[in-house]
Amino acid sequence: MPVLEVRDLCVRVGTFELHDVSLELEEGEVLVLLGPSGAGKTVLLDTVAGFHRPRAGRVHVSGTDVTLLPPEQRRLGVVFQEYALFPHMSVLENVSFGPRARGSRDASRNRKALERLGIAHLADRRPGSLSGGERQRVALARALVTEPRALLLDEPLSALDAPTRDELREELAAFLEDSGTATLYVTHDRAEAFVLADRVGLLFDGRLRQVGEVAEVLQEPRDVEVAAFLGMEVMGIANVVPPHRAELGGLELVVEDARGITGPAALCYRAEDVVILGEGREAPNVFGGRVERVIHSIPLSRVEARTREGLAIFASAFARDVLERDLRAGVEVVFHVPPASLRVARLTPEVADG
Amino acid sequence: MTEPAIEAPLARWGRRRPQVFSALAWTLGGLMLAFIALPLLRLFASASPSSLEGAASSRSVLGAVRLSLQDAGITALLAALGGVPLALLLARRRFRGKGLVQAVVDLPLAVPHTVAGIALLFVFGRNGWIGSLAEGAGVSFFGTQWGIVAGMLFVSAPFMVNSARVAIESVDPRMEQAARSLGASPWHAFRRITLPLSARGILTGMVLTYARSISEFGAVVILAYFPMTAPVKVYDLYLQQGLAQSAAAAVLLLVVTLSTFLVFRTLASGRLLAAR
Repeated sequence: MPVLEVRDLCVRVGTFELHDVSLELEEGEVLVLLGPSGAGKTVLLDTVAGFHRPRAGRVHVSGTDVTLLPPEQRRLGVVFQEYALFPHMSVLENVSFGPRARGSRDASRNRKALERLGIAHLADRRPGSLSGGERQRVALARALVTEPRALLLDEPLSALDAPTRDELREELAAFLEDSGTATLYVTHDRAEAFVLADRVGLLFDGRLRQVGEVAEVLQEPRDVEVAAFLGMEVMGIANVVPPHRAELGGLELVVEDARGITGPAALCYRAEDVVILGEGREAPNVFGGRVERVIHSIPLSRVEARTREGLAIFASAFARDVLERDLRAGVEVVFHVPPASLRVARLTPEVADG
Repeated sequence: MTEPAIEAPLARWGRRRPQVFSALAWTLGGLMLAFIALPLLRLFASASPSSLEGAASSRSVLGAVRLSLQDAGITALLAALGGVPLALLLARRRFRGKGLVQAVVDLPLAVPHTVAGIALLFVFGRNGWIGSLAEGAGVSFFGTQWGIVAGMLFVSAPFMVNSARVAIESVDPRMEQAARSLGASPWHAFRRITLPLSARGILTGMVLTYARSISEFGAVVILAYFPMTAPVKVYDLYLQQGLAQSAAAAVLLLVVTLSTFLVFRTLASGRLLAAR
């Protein structure tokens, strides 16, 4: 039985709408909801927590229907983006707020929660005097001390500056794995999602588009928006003829797997899969073209080119190779996009069931 | 440069003469300040120690001052009792007609106070909707302390509701949500989180309500000429005995109200006068 189950959830907040979201969170799992800002991630989390009432759908926690229960009866721990620590209380008072609200007077448990997060020495401090990382730990301790069935984390790293964020991301990943508490985690940051997630769910325009393990979602993005958000290049809209053919702007291309799609679909690829050849070769998906621009970077530089047919192609290559081969604007090159790396993605979103 | 040609000379003028702006602000601001302070200073200067002594030993003047303090205090408490819940709804809930509710709250600011008194009399008078009911229970609003409190509450309620609303709005709703998710009931979250974090603003609202109530004349005088509150007494003295005689009572009232106002304000803001 999943710790948290969301079924066909529809929510409207102001003019924003969340459509038919379904997902399951298993015991000990970290499910990261990834999507651009405005996608509805926070609305979804707030509805699960009980701050919004859905128009339709159910929320179950450990098999109990909590859809109509107030937040205080759901046993879900919430950590907000800005942490929402109580500024008029000490760290210890913040952490003991939950147990006290539930009528517990067991002070040793609160102390233990502080120790577990390494903030016992801050017990008497006010939140206002803490660093971003310390605040986050207080917020986690405050949520965990009530022994919630699941944790809901809303962009808990975005309030931090960049170096702290990178450091705490690893720390948080280790802590969540260690604590074993099932976690629904919301972020717009891909790197954060990949580090933290057991599974990742992609939320766009109020719809959950795809749910799966990180590697799977990266490899097989289901629609073009997901593919683009995960950093794939979109070659264009092709007419796909199964099993292996795709026609794009007068070009005949070969795909390894049409994934059951016939007709118009997007062709996507990763820039690092594109091979820059020295000279032409008899193989599928080989194009001659001219380099338009080179952006030098580390570890990979980006080569932007256009084929004779006018198709834009982007390739990533090691900076060293770019220099050795003297790639620069105006140079004639030959590109190879291996059929295995050319993905067929749907144009219209398909709603996922997590 | 793509700076518009018309703006350029003005901007240059402003940049070259920042001191003119500052001098203008000080001059006009100073005139405003003098306009407020001069009449009060002149009033103090008019009162001789002996005339003050006379006013302070007059039983009717003292009674009026005591009545004003007492009823303004009662009004501040009643305003908080009803105003804080209303402020909470305005700050936190979305509901149909919220704009209208806020407009109604602000209405007493725009109603001339004698008009307010007459309107109150229609409701709280012997034949009014509430007045006739209250009369049955032995409570009269005409010519009693209850009438005075009703008049004070009507004109000062916007100060209470608006101060409390602003104070509650400044508390991050995420904190209340955090409290709820940790197991707190709405009441517990309000008492432990929202109320302490907005307490200063609510107290400020009560002090403003108190100050507005103690200075109220128009609405009060229509509902209750007797018993006399201090402003009514001063007006009465002015009519009966003239400027000089009313001045002593006026100064006494001023001293008492200003000192209580300062004490309450200091308690509410946690600092003496305005030193920042």
